[in-house]
Amino acid sequence: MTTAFREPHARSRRRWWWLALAVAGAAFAAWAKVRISHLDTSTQATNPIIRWEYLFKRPETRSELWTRTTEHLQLTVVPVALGLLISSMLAAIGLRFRWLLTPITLLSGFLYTIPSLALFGVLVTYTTNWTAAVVALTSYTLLILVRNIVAGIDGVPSAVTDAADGLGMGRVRRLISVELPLALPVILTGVRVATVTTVGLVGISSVIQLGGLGSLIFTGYNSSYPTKMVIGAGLSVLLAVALDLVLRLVERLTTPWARRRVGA
Amino acid sequence: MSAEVAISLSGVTKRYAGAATVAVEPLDLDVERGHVVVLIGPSGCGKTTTLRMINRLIEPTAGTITIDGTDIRDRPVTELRRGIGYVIQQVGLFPHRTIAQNIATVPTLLGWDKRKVRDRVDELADLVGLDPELLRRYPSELSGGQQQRVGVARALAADPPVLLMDEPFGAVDPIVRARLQAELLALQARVHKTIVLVTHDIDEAIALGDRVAVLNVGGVLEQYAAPDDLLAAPVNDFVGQFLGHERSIKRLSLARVANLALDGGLVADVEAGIDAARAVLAKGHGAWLGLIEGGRFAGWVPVDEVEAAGSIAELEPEPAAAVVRADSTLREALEVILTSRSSTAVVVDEHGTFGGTVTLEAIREGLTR
Ligand SMILES: Nc1ncnc2c1ncn2[C@@H]1O[C@H](COP(=O)(O)OP(=O)(O)OP(=O)(O)O)[C@@H](O)[C@H]1O
Ligand SMILES: [Mg+2]
Repeated sequence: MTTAFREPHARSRRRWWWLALAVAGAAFAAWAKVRISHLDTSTQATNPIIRWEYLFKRPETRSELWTRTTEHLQLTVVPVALGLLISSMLAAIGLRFRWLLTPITLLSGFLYTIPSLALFGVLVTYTTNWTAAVVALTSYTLLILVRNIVAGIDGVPSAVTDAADGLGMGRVRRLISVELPLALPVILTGVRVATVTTVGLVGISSVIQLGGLGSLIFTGYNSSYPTKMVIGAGLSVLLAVALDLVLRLVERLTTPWARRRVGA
Repeated sequence: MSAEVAISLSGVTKRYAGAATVAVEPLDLDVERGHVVVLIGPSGCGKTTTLRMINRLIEPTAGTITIDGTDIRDRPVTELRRGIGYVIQQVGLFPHRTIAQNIATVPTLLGWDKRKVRDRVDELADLVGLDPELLRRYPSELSGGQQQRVGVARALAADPPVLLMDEPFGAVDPIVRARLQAELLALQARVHKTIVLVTHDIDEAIALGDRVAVLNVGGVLEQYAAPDDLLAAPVNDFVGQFLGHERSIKRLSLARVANLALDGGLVADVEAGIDAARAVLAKGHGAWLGLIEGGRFAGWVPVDEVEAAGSIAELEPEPAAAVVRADSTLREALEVILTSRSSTAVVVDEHGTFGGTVTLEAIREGLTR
């Protein structure tokens, strides 16, 4: 067996570390920018990292943050959902016709390697900004999703599929009531990774005027207003963490059998 | 073809794509209804292949398989399989389904209503000796032996007339295996299925099979016979070697005391008096005389005491230690004979009524019939 049935703990913990590091990095960047601008123009008033009045005094802030977050959420959920749909079909084709699996993986791997800004740039000449962004983001999810769906289904013990066949389940029946449920932990791990990655990528979409938390960061950067950068980055991280937690919860709820063990 | 035949293989051949040799050479095999047929042979001889051709998990390269006279290809494959219980070697329970759901697999596929399924699951749990408490658990929460039982229950769920079992007790220790074997026999006495069972344990084959098919590499059928006939007369060296050195000992486990021609032996009735007792002694050799009182075996008395005694009432018989029943195996009889001072086992029925004696000589004659 090449694929671990369940994600090792060490790996998921490492991802949390990356998130923490990203927050720290964003905060440091904001702080550094302020220090530098402060040094350059000694006449400029001090520019603190967090301007509390932005958060608490300004009446528009709330709706602005809310709008940016929902934009971000939408640009994450739509591509991941589309990606899951397309990956399922690709995986189904690859599992049915094994020789197609390599080309499918190569293609999704190729899509994954295209720099995101370049892909946006090309796509946007053909369609609207939003569609271009969704298409690009979707294409990035395919590699990990296809790989995990295939690995998940291949990871179902052959004794189990054998039993399903021997007891007279049809092919579709076996897929739906045996293979998919058993592959679910691996598939959901893929969905989680794709989601967290997409949350990060959506930051770029603000370049083509689609808002999201990235636009907070960019306007903050351009107007030397670090508060917006910090809040944008912080909310982006929070969003990633929240989605990750939601998906973990889904996994727990859908795989009660994987939790209970002998000795209970 | 006799009406008794449930499963019939004729000229069944399997050559795997790309394989240099044939996995199963043209094989003819008839399985009678209600019988347990055991396929046995060295690893890689095609036992699993043969078994899986019966439920079409593997398609034969040539030949025909019929169940109850109809070609298995005449029915949709899923329908065929739902009518054949299948116990796979590695148990293969569905880890994400509870034990009850596992057992209910085929009834659910067949669309039985919920009540009927639930009743059937309870019935099966009882049949295979599973604590109902376990039904709500997941397979990973059961011991190996319990899982094997669930595997058997799942195969029996829709009451299929035919059962295919691939090393059903392969994954458990010898003690649990022996118990499961005994339970399978008890179960079979109640359900009368036609069973094809694969094993590579000759003792299991002898214990479970009504007939045993010994296969050689390439699916060559070397001998197909009842266990006792197999042990008594292996057709060639291959079969002989496969059966092992202790063929006679193994036969002892198959034959029962009731199969022997029991004689009374050196036994006298108390009522008949001392002279009659001495007359019995004159007919045979032995150091002990058995006494019968009111149809029951009273005990053994040393021969010299009988000679010396003035009357039977003076004698004080020692109770018999070596006692067997008519349905005891010869192996059990031998065991008690070896530990008895009189070298004789006393046969009694459940009421204690005397039925005869068994000696080493009688056992030896029983084997050379
Ligand atoms: N899917 C397959 N493709 C090619 N060859 C196979 C395949 N399955 C089995 N074989 C070959 O066919 C022969 C018979 O295999 P089979 O599994 O029936 O043996 P077996 O008697 O059940 O052995 P064991 O006691 O080890 O389980 C072996 O030589 C095996 O290598
Ligand atoms: Mg085998």
